[in-house]
Amino acid sequence: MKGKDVRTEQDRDRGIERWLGRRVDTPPSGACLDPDTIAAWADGTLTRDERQKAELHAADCARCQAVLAAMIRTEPPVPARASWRSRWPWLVPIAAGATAVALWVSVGTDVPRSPAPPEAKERTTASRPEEPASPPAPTQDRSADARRQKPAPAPSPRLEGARRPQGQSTGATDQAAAAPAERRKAEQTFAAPQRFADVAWTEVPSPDPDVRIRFTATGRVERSTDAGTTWTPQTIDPAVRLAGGSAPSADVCWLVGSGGSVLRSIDGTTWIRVPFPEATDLASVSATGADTAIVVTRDGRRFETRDGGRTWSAPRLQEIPDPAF
Amino acid sequence: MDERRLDRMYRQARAERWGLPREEFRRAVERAAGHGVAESTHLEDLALACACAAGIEAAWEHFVRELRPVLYRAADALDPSGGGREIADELYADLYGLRERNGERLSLFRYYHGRSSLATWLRAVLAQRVVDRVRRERRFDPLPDPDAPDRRAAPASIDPDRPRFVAAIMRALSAALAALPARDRLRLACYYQQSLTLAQIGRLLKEHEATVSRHLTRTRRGIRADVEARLRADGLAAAEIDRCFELLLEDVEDTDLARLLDAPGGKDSDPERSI
Repeated sequence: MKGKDVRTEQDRDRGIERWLGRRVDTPPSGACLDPDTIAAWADGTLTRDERQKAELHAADCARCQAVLAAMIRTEPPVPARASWRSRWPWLVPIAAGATAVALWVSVGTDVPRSPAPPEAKERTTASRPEEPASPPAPTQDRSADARRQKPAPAPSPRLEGARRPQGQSTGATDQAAAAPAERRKAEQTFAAPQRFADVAWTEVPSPDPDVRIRFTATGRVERSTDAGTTWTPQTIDPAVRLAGGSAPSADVCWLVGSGGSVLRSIDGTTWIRVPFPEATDLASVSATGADTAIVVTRDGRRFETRDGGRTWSAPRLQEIPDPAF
Repeated sequence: MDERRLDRMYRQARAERWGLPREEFRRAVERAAGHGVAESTHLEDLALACACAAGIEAAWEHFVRELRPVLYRAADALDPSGGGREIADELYADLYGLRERNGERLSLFRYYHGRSSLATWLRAVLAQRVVDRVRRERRFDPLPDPDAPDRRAAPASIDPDRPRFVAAIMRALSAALAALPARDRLRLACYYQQSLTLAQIGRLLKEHEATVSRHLTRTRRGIRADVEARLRADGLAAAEIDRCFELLLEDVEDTDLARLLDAPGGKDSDPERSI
């Protein structure tokens, strides 16, 4: 009898994966891990030897594997990563000093305290380094997942140096492709992160041109109802690191970020945290209404809700991406 | 124990805020040392657990305010239908210590030795109890009826070589898996059996999720190559090896059932390792 063709390596791997998903318990070596050891494993306080022994047992013990999996699933959300300022506080004065020196060299000497000869002034101006033609790219966490993603299409010359940050709703890009040139131009301008007072803002396009929402990765959210002339800060959980947003209407906006954080506003002012099934980092959201949204995790899985986040569809079966590096 | 060292630990643990008798604290520290925890990095939690076990009200108030919500959050995450919370309540009762021996209340807190934070330890105890209950309930699920019509029509009756090929591929797979390092086996189990995400496995094994992905791919390829080599060594021709792999893509449930029935009862809730 001839069954499925398994001459390719992929087919054989598929068969092995199927077996791996169904195989029954094998008797483990030694006694099961006690809660003390499992907790120490989770907290990272086991010694190297203890850890190796624990792994040796857990590798074959379905019960301990299930307990470890349950531990990981009940892990509280990862706190926001400390900023470089708190990790390397000594860099702040050094950077400030370096900036002051650079300013003094480039500007201070440019403004003569006493009249200088014209040729000296010209020489100083000519030696000043060129300013970048566009604002610097936003500071973003670039995980290996992001590197594995397909490269984004080349930005238009207008957007050179101001690329869409990772996690921005991809819906805006699709709409932009179908929109007339003017609208596309406006949306691209929206999508470009801007720098205000050393903060990289990401704007979430809204169908109403007067209503704009912008956020920073560090959890600041602001809204404008006069096309960006004035901005009103909004309050969200400061521990959330935001990665993406989507505003299907002027009043409704969804934001996603670290540790399974999903925030939704349906009145444009108050933000409510929507429960999400996993405390995993989220990359982007694409919402079509107050109840319907698709959220993509940093590891590429898609969750969908049709009832405002009360329930989420099971993620699509994930594939192990082939390492591209 | 050296009194000065005990004094220092008592101060570090801020045990005086619970009014914890020094002797109680000394016993807890000595118990922890007996379990290989020379000096806990979670002395405050150890003092709190010790004070709760001793029935000190202020400690209990703190526990209820700060740690019971952790327990309930974990319970809800494990079983949103409420079953987890039921187990969390049972656990809470055991922590309080309803059982008495020689007039002494026995609290589950005496098993906490300060190797991890108290919150993590509580999650571990809860996770173990929930898993044990699920496994207990699964054991009472009826096994598939071997005489059911769909089973009688299994392809085994059509292909006379099938049992031989099934045995060969299962033997090769089991041997290939057993030959892997423990960490590789654990990574595979977490991914394929526990359905953890790459990021979750990464947190468990302290690896980056890209590393997890790379290792999984490498291990799977390694298993394939090993199985092919073992089947060739068994004297199977290329077409027969193809047939073995075909069986993996067919419904292999019936072949696994035989193994399940033959398998030893499984290393389950060893009472010594469950609390």
